[in-house]
Amino acid sequence: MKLTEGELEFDFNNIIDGFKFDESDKLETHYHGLSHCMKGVDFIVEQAEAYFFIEIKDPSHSETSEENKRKFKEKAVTGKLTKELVQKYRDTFLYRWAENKLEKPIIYICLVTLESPLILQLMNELKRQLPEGEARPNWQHSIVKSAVVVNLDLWHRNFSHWPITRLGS
Amino acid sequence: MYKSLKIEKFTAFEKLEMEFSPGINIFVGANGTGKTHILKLIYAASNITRSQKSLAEKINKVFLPSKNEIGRLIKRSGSNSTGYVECTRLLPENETIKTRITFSDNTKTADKTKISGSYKRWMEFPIESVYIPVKDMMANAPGFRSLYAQRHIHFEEVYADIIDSVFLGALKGQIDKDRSKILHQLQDAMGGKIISKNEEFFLKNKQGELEFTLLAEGIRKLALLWVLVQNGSFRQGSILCWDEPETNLNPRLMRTVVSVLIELQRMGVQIFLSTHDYVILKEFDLQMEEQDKFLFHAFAREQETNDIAVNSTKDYLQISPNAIDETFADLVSREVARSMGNIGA
Repeated sequence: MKLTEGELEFDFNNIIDGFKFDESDKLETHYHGLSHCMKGVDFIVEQAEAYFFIEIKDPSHSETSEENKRKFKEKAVTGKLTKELVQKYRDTFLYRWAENKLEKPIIYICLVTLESPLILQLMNELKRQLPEGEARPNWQHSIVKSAVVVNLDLWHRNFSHWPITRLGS
Repeated sequence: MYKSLKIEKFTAFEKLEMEFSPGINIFVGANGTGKTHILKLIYAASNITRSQKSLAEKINKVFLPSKNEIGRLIKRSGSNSTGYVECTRLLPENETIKTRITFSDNTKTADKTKISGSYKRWMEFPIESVYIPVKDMMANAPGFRSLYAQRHIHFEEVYADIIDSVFLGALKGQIDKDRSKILHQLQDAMGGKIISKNEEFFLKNKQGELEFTLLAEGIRKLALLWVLVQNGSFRQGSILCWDEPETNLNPRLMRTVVSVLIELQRMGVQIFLSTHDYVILKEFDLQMEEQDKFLFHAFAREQETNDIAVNSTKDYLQISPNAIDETFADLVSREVARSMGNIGA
């Protein structure tokens, strides 16, 4: 199944279901409809053993101006981006709770097209803030089983079965 | 100022040609790709213009081949082979001169090497040069110089030379504005000035005088720079070779070091440094301005031939292959794999 976000086309193979979660077209089955009060990740992909929440931030988009690239990096290193990624996840989690669709563990993948050292910093921060895993001794569930941040290179190393193509290149 | 370097069959290199920036040259690459060898060659070729030693002798002293057999520096290939190193310099008034040293793996002694090019002219124009080795020597300065002069001790000569540079008397006259600015920057970071008494160094501040052996290694690096700037080792036309400035340096101090290096470049010092450190590369990337002259040189083995090749670029993102970035990518990739467990595999 192919899903597109901006210039990036994802080819999700061997999945049960996959859709744009922040769908703004009222006629689509997965129309979000609550964007005035809840944020959402870009895609939800269902596999036999897990749900994948996928969020895409693509400052390397061919039409991003130098100024906006700089602003995005600033957002990434000052922690604002992590806050946004956390909120998107939590709102999506609540939305899915209301839908009674939380029966499988959830993996959160954030694709951020920045250089690898910054990715490592973002990933550490995201894991701390969600928080990942069973964060307290008395927790019976985790809010997120695993949260990872990757760039395109890292996506292809770790999720080679789901190739991404940059359209128009 | 160095323009370029050409090498054949020397140490790790089969064949190599490099063009340098007149400003800052940053060598990146995995261990064993010959970055330090290039630094030492540039230093040796510069140092002889002051000491008037032969190039072969100096190469022997800084590389220390076993039994002083310079032929051992020829790339090992199993059969008889001859190699050379050729440096190209730009003199004032845009005169370009070259000097080349040629020898073979059978060359036993330095005097059997062949020098060609404009060697005489090369030696007529002295270059101030400093080589900062990986290990700190200032704390070990007392007695080391006399020991090195009197006995055959197995130390690459760069270690003795840096101590000599540190003990150079101060330049006559006032310290100019550029140097004074750098000195203040370093003093702020170190929290004091450096003084020496009988070959021993101290950091002097309001609390008193602290022995160098009591100082963190990172602070000793800043101190070394301070002394070299103060005694006039760096001026227009000087050469600085620095092997892994990041060693023992707190990442926060990196900002000061990079800023000082950029200032030196603006004064007209040509700089060559090797690094494995992301913070240093990034600091350069962030602090360098339009007017600044610099080049990143990425050293790597080519897959097919296993020979070392160098890619030079001005753009941080174009450094390729970027061993440092690759290391981070590998870390992230392994962390992603661990975090995901078996799911999605």
